[in-house]
Amino acid sequence: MAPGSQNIDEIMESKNPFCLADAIRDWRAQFQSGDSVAVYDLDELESHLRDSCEELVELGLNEEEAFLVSRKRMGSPASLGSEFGKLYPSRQWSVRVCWMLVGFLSFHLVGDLAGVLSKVGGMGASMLGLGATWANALGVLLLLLPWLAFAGFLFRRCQGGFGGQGVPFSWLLRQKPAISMALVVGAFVGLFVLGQAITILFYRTQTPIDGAMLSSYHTTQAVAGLGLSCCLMAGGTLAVLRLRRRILSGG
Amino acid sequence: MITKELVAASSRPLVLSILGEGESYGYAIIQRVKELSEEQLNWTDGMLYPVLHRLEREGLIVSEWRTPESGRKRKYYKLKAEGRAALKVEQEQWLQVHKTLTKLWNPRIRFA
Repeated sequence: MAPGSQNIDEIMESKNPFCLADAIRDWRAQFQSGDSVAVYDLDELESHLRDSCEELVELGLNEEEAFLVSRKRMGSPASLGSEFGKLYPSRQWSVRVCWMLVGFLSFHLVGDLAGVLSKVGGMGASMLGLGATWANALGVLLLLLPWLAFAGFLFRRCQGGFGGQGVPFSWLLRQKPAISMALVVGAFVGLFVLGQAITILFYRTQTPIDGAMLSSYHTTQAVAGLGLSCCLMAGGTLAVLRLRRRILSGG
Repeated sequence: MITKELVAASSRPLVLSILGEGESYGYAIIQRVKELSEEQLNWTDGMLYPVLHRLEREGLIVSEWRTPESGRKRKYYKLKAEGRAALKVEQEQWLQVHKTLTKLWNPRIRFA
């Protein structure tokens, strides 16, 4: 392929017909990450944007040019979001609390899931008659799996996958606070009960209880878990900082 | 071109005064400011809305979504009695600033 041909492809691609409705939808989506601008405020801003576009089209600009000028005149979503945020500090706080809850819950959930998987693995290994070393190895391996999946999920989300950059389920917290609180409490209770049940089941299967195997298994699991948590905390902090920078730069 | 700080400071009396002429909506308010200031007062369009919302929360103006017969749905703002009183206070203060500066800049007035 000649070096220039890719360029030509790109130029041809940018000649796609401009669609105002799509452009406005993308523009609105940029405000969703901040959450300071409510939907009805966005309706008002959109009405303004459309007025501005219409007038510029009457002046002789084409629809795409009119949209670009109007969008520029409107101001960046980041700066508008921060202005609206000053006006409605509770909205910004609800977003922060959302992030904290989501972060806390997901760490809790993944941690518990890892623990449960690891225990089930260890249980399975000992039931199959494998020695303590193999049970340990399998336990640590299964401890790693949910965290790897979680890291992969975060990585994809940082790149805009799985529903972009907004707080997951924040609409639920805003629209139906009682239901979302019940879900959060339910998730905690459910996870706790599940964790306890699996632990009891695990001990029940150890008849007669192999004390040496159990203590060695639990120590390995605890040390591996601690190391993993440290790595994940560092990685998670970096990912959040990166996300924050992207949001602040309006990208 | 008027500085950003002065644009921000004058947004409140400007919006109250324009709504004092009769009810209006965001885009029309911006157009009116552009026209009156001969494009010297340049607002970032979107920044008008936090000002309007703040005035509404202070109980100086009221808003209502309406769809005119020919046109799209727009949010109209109207000055309340409290807004008129606030506008009067703003007028007095801005005229006071204006008077002080004029006295300093025009000696003939100072010695008159």
